[in-house]
Amino acid sequence: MESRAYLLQALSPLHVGTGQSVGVIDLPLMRMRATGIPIVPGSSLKGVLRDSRKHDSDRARSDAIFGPRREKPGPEGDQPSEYAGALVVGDARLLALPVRGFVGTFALVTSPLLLALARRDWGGRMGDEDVPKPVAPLAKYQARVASLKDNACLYRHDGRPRVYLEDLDLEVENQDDAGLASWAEVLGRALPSEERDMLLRRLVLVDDETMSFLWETATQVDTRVSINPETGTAAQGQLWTEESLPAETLLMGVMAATRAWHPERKLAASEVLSEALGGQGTMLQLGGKATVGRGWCRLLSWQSGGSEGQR
Amino acid sequence: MSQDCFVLLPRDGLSVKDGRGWYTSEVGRGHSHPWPLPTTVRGALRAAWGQDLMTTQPGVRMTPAEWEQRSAGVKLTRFVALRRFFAESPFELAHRMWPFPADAVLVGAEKGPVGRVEHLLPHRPAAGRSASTLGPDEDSAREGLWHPRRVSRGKPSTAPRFWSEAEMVCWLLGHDVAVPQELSPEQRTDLHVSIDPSRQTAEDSMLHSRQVVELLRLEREGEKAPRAVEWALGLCCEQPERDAVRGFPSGVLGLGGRRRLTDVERVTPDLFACPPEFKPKASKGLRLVLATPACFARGWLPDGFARDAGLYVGSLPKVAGPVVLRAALVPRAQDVSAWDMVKKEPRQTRRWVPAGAVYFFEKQRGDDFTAEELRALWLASWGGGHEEALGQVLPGVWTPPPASGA
Repeated sequence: MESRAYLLQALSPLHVGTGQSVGVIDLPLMRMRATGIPIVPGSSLKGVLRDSRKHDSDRARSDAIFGPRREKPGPEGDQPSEYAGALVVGDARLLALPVRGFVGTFALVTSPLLLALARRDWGGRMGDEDVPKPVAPLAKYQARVASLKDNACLYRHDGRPRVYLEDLDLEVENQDDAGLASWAEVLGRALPSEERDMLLRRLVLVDDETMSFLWETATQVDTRVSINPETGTAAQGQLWTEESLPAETLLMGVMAATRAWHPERKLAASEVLSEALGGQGTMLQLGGKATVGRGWCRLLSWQSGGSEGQR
Repeated sequence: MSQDCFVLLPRDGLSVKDGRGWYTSEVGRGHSHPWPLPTTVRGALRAAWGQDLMTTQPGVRMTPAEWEQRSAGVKLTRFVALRRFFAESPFELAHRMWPFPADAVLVGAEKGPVGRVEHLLPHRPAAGRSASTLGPDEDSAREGLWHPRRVSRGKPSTAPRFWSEAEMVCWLLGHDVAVPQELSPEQRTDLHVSIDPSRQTAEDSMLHSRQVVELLRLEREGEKAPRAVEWALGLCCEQPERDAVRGFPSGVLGLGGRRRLTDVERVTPDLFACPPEFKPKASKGLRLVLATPACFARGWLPDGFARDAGLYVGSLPKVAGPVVLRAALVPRAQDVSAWDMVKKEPRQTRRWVPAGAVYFFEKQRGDDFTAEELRALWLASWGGGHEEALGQVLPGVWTPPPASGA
């Protein structure tokens, strides 16, 4: 199967939830259960990509890529299909989380684990020379930045660099991290040219334990209420909280494709992937709460660097 | 016959749906096997092999029936679970994980959650004191089987699904094993709903859920920082001799429900070898632990065994002479259903003896099982379904209790 890595950049808060919870937050984010890493399931992205082509006149082409449509809901629609869709969309996993800071407004925070997962997603899909090396591990409650001079989120206390992330005051290693700089550079290649230095200026690497604390506690939680139209006051029992990934969050995933199996539309795997990924920076609305502006994302990929096995 | 050995690293977890339908409850629910079946993995390999063949041999286009027929030569010859720290060194023997054997019992302590691991050993049936079976045939042979008995009264605890290579080797050699850590992949339930494209709202009766087995987890030892651990599937496969594809499988693989993306990492056949630490001495008794499910023609009773003077007597691969089946610790049978992609209908359901089942044997002539025989049995195939890596066994020693008065 041919595959390509993709990047999702949230432009507004992104709420891809689980539907319900018995926890403190009524509508929590979807996460991997065993690690807690927030994800956007591939099924969600695939559905949105398909929907974005609903006005295409060439329905067969769309079906060849995404699979035949279900004609009827419920058990009656469970008919064996003549062919399978050519596209498989992997889940998008958190890569960098924007976290409020006292200096520099916000930092894009990542960790060795998240970068190692991203590295595997790249592995074999970009030329070896393009894949940044793994970053060195960090001690607990330590941070590193690509460039002490260029990073916008640092402040100095007694001459030692530090970052404030929410209420965490972390010491920053007093030297540039060349490995992280190459990550910022390669990741930045997927972003529009005017935003490419954002990662160099805001990327902060923290240890995995701190990161897991942040992906649990530094997400955006909004409290909302329904207003009773009769009285103009809060409706009884209709106060709820919902969790979102903040705007500027970066998530990474993989798409893969075989050649199309549609009897009339023969597409190569690379065509299927190019079609699915669309033009650079395709705007999509993902997840819930669309009518209140949630979920606007940019779908990005790396133009250079090819694909792996051709099947 | 060329053999390709590689490890599958599912990126987004796996959902290998079991035979239960979507509409058995009010809300559509897809139940997943807790660990993928060998037959599912072989099916994915056959699909990938066909795609690779058509890519590497321009002009070759197979109909589903041809695909089914030509890919029948894709055989799964090894299938083990693996677990390592994320992105650690290449996979090695120490990363292998084995099903928790049915002859081990986790026993709760008087205080605290789990106390110890106890051997469940078969004892000769006391003459005239057991209840008789009500089976229609072979009563005498079934009555002749030895019964497992616990030596303490503590309350059994839930066993983990897997334990490690070191623990399993220790157990097979008949030694005691410390209480294993809870080392099983976690499951989550994903909720899905279809959106009606014309109304952009949820479609009626299209809310459904699906169990997903996650293969990446964070594990923490005491106060240390958490470390990411990944689970994987180690396997060897053979390709059809005439149609072998170089570099198979190329690229990522789609595995299980929704063709979840799975990376491929090459390994050598050494990953499946008998470990050097497994140095058993000759033994009067043999235990065979199923490392993969087994498919026997007569349910729990191993193929090639028949009643002989009130005993089950038969032969085993790699073992000289006839052997007597003394006891069988077999958990609940595993029902396996599958879908026929050519006929577009369900395949016949099969019943397997689950991995972890343990069988106890003695040689009929009273000889010892030699150390060479025991080592040769490491992952030997037993019963049917060799092309799906079914019935692969781990050999262990066992000391049968002496007959009363002996």
